Amino acid sequence: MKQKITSLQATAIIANAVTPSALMVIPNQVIQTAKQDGWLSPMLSFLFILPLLYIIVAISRRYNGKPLMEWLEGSFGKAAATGIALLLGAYYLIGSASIVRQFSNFISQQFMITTPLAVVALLITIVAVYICAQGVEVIGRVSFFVMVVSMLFLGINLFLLWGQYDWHHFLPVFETMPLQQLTASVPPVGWLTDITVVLLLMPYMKNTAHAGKAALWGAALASVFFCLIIAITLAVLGAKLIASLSYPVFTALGTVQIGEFIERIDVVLIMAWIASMFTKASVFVFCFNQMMLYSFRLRPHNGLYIAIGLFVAATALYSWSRNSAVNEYIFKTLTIYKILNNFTIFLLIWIGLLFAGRKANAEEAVT
Amino acid sequence: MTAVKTARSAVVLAFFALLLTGCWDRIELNELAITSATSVDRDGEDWVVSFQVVIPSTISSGIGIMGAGSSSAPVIVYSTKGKSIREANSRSYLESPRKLYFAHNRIIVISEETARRGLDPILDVYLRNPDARETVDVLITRGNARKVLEQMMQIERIPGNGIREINNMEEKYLSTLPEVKLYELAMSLSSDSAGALLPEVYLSGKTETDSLKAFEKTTLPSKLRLGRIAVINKDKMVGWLSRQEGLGVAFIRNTVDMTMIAPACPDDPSKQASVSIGSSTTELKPAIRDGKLSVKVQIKASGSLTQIDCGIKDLNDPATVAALEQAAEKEIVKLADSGWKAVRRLKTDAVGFADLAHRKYRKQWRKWKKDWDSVFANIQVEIAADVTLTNVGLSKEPIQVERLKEGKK
Amino acid sequence: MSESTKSGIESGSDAVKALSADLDTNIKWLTGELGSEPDIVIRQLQVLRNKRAALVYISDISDNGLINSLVTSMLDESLKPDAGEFEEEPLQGLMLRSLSVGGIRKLDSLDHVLLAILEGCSVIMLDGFATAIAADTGGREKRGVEEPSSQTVVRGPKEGFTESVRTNTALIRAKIKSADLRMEYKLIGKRTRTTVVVVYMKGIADEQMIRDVSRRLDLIDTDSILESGYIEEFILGKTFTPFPLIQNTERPDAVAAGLLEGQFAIIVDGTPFVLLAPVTFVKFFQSSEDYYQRYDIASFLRLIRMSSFLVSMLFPSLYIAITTFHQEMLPTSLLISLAAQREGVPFPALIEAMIMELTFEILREAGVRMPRIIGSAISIVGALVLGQSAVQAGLVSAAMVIVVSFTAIASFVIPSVNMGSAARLIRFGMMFLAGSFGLFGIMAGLMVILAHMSGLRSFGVPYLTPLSPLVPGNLKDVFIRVPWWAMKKRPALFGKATARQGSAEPNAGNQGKSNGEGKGRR
Repeated sequence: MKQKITSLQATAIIANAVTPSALMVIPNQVIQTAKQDGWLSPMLSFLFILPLLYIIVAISRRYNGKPLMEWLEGSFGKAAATGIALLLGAYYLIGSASIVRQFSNFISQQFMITTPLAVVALLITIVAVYICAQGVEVIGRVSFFVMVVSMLFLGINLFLLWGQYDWHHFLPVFETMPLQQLTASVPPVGWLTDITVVLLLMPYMKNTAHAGKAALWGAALASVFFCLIIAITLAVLGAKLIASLSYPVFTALGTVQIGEFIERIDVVLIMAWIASMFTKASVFVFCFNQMMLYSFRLRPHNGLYIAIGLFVAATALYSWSRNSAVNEYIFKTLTIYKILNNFTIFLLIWIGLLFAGRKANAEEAVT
Repeated sequence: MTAVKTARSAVVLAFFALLLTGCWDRIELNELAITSATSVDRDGEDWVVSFQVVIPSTISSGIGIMGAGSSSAPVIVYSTKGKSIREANSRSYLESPRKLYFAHNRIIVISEETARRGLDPILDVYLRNPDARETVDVLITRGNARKVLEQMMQIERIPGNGIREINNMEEKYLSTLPEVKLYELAMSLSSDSAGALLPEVYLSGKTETDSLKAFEKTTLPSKLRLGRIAVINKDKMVGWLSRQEGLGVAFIRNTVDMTMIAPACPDDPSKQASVSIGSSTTELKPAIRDGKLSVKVQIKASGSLTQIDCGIKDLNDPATVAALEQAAEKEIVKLADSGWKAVRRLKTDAVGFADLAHRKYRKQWRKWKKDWDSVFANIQVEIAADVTLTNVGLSKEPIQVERLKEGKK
Repeated sequence: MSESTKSGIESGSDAVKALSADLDTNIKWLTGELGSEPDIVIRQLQVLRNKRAALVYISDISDNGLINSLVTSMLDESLKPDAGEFEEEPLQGLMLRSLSVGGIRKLDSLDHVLLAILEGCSVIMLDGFATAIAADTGGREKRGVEEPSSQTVVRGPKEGFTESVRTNTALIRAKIKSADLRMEYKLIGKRTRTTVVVVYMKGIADEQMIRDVSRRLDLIDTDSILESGYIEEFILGKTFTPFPLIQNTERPDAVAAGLLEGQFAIIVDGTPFVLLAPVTFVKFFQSSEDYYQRYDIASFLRLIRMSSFLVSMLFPSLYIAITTFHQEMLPTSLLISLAAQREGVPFPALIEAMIMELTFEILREAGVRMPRIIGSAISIVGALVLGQSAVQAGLVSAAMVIVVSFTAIASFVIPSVNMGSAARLIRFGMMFLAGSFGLFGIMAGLMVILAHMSGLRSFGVPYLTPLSPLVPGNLKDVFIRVPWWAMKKRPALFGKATARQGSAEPNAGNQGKSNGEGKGRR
């Protein structure tokens, strides 16, 4: 039975594929350079992402409803399609590994100081692979559920933090130099380029014409979310302190104290965040799995999921020797890699499609 | 189908294998030493950290401090010494049967000496470690900080909690001493003005109340009190403000919620009225005059009359009320002025003028930033107050028995 | 009434042994098959003046009054003056004139004769004819319609299903007097030959789904069906899940409501528990009483039930996670009093919780199994010995007893017993996760459960409908129940929400409101 997801679910998957891991680092990345104007950066980033969105829409227009790789093969030939699959596979492997590592780092720093990292990483991978093995339909449903729950929890937290806001922290507005502002909006662009998972979701969508729309909504949701998160942390902690904190969002939430009973409710939001992190990991593992299936001409098999899970977990654990190396990697290299990879591959596919389309047209004209 | 089964059982097995190995971070409640207060002293180059640890069984059994069967003290205090705060912390394993647990730490008391030598290490410890809350109240004490932890309290069974409550109440109803949480301290020290205020807690009385025996009487030989306000400049303490000055600074900083002022009577300066301020907002208006920064402080307060000893006759007369309001305004201006003079004397921007200047004059700020101290010293401050008496109480004239007897107005 | 036996014979018609024209041969064969047990009656008699005939039945499962009148009518017939009219067609004569029973039919093979006898029919065989007549004289002792014991309501019908399939179908027919109500009869089980009835509303239930169910029922290859649980497991096949994918109920009103929403019901002879499918997760939190009470209190109770499910699934594990990993989440005073209670308790919280949970499960099982008369003993032992004394002896902390009891009480709030058992099973797994990884472990477990539930389907309907996939129209009857006048459409289980309330005129009682509603809707 072919699994299908609705546009709403696709939007939820895309938003979920962008926000959760960004939530941890975005405020820090952005505010370091943009200072109190950090909340502007995600809006700028959204503008930067528009060309990519255009490309996605253009590609989805030309999509003919066949399985993704068959379609690419039909347009570019086998070698090129395999190349694309391999590149994307590598990207999603690194993506999954960095998510798993970042996630387990956080858990082990925040809650499980003495628990071996490997155990936490394995548990995360098991859950992610389990969700992924249930198929794209389940990923869609879980994403939707998680999105609603996270929004709810975020709302509650926004409300509880009310007493902590100091709007003066935003002043003076527009102080940051345009160049700095641009630099600051690069990391969000990096995270936002992950909306390209829509390409892999496209074959499963009930209405493939809505793929572009889902990507747009996903990107918009994520940008708004970034804005909100940056604004909250700024309002609570002020630009200067944030720059020195590893997880400013959670520190900000930790300051809530209403009466004797409502304290330390950051854990509640962390739980919602953990849920979306699991979902994100499963989306990336799913994409990785898809690309592996095609590149090596594998048949879907449950043993394969175990292998893929172990591979991702091992990559996550042994690629970086230290936790600080992970942060360094995520702060710098990953952002650049995300931008380069997503923009380049999609641009190539698009141009290729244009070219192939023209060739086909020309052939038609000849015959 | 068999493949599905194999995969599933493998996943389940791996999962349970994981579970069997678990429990690294598990810690039972009766393995915790719940710390309710911490203090930091310096001994030469060493740090002396003291902990006030709650003994749960003596607290929860019995009612009240002298509840049935709880003849032992509700808390125990011990100190450890080390080259750094965390090293001192870790030495607690040498003497404590339980793991020190800081998430419920309510206050941290810092000795004056420590504060004068720098607060950075304390901020670092609290912001770096997930087990310590950033929401502890920070207090300063003169002399040995451990002494504060040893002191027991009358109503609250856990002294650490009690001090926090006092601090909280005071800030809410008197607004003289601020309640400063650790992250707030870090925020104000990292802001442009780099100044902060901390409340002082001290031991008043001759001997110490460190034994339950003292609670057999209604009067305690000594007790904990909030005192003056410590001024911190760039992580180091630089001096004290009196409570008067503290209230004045609070007016300028716009941190007054509720407070009490005692303006002199309009007709007789030796006598006083009491005005309870119910709400107060302060507007700071920076301006540049002759290249110099000047700040106009506009305090707008409303309150009610709670006591009066003046020769005024009719409190229903608008003119009388206006005169009283003017007296209150004068008092507030006096307070704020003394506060401003005090922070200028200490060369510390505890009133946040730097942030103000940065927000309003971005261009000049780049120049001022380099030498803020001298700019700060030359700021012209104009203080104006506007008080509205919304309520004069239940009697419309001062109660003076002599006058009442004669029945004259 | 005779439908059951008729279709039963048709479906089981792989027998080939034909009836003999000789009556004695047939009787001999039957005595050989059935044995000469005392309850098997072979009554020989002479009908239509001179024809030899035999009436065979099993007295214990037949209505003897009916048989008496049958015999009387046959014997009387031969005394009538025109009894010879049907000399040529004696069988026809019997059937047309002298059988005083409603349901009769002709049988051709000995195997069918045997089955008809075993089902409680009386079989009349005439000498010289290779055809027998089965008269439906079945009747056995049965329980009357009583109040359901497992699903009681404060307001609502008090009648419950019984063990007799006929009574049960009658109860449903009495609720829905519509020509669209269809009942498909099947005989399942090679030895038990249990009557199984698939009930559905034509035009509301999905045709494709009914065909599918019918096919799955026909595929069942077993020798016995003793309860509807057999059918449930057979038609679900290889689905591994702790969650129930088929609802069961003792209440005819619940079945009627289900049928009208597009579900189908499976009634199995011999059990008062009727299966309802397809179901979604939220269905298990709806009690039929929700629809009889006012909507405000019904919505409130539904929310309570859902939170009780969460409590019964998660409360012990949350307690373990928070007290052993996340003590910072507790308010100070609570932490101190919990810590004081735990002083001197020898077990870690996880073991303590496991001991208490298992104790409770044992107590509960004992409560179900033991004779009613000694019931009070168990409550004394359970409450006093295990609860109070264990705390006083310092074996467990008082807080743990509170947690376990609250969990236990919460698990009884869920209207459906099998959903309650799902929560019970999951609870233990969650406790292990919480004991090893704290809240993170619980979250991981919850994600797996969520993914698992998202992947489940009950007869093609995703289990978490209408939450995810989102069906906005169905949300009116999930967490809250909106008033009846606002539920204009049936919940769409298969994407077709037919109108439930056709009339454009709003109800008299709530004119203003539903006018507004109506405008928005059309």
